[in-house]
Amino acid sequence: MAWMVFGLFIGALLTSLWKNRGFRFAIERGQGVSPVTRLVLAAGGGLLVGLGAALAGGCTSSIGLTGSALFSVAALVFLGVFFVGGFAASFFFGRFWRV
Amino acid sequence: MSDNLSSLLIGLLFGASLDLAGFGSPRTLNGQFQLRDFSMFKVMFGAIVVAASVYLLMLGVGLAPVPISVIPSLDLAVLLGGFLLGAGLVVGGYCPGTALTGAAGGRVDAVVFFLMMYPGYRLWVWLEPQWPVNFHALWLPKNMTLHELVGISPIWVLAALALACGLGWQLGNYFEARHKGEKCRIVNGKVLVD
Repeated sequence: MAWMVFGLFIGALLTSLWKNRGFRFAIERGQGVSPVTRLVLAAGGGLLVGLGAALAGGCTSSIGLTGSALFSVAALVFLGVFFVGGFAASFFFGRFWRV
Repeated sequence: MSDNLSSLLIGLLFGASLDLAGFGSPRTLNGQFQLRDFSMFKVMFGAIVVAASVYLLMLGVGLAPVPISVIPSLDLAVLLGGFLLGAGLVVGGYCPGTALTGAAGGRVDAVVFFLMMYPGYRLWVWLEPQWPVNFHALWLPKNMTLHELVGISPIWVLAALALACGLGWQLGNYFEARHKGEKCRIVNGKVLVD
């Protein structure tokens, strides 16, 4: 697991450098959103995702993708409610990502 | 090949794929829920259809199936967890894998998101015993798959998923065309609108 997490980071770093985006410290945020607001939202989202992943026993990739590729009923239901949760949150928080 | 080496290789490919798909940016993931950028749907369902096809092919040539414990089982925990993950992804802009991808591009918000997942996990460990609800009571037999539930060949499930993927893809193209000029990417720290 630790090796995969390490590999994921390095893999993303390599393609990021290769595509000439480089490594640059930044807080990515929508127009008109202050850095502090963005960091609070990132922290809140991380907390929710940590809670959700602990509850479900896995994340978008492990349950949603791997499970669905094995045709698990639970995984397909998971993907459904995942999108419902996303759209519900987007109703309230989508305005933070105006282009 | 040792387990560590194969894990590293899979991680490298996974990270590279997430980055190339643009998932290191919370804009891409949020764009899905504002119906202006369907990259997330296309990559997710494309991956499911490809992985399922390869898996069925591997079974077809006589390779061993995955351990049954890999197949998730349906209970309240999966339902609530899925909802919270979807909501958290929109609020924070990442999921666990893409937070690492974002961090690899230098995004400080991705690092904050990633670190806050641990308190989230601890919160659940603390909360669960306080509730008189068994979140893990099974709603269906353990490790149930759709083809077993309906009683059909897995090929039909694959065909249905491929069809759903194709239709969703077309729908995505339609929405992306309607929101032309709102799909953006980050190059050298600057937001570029395609």
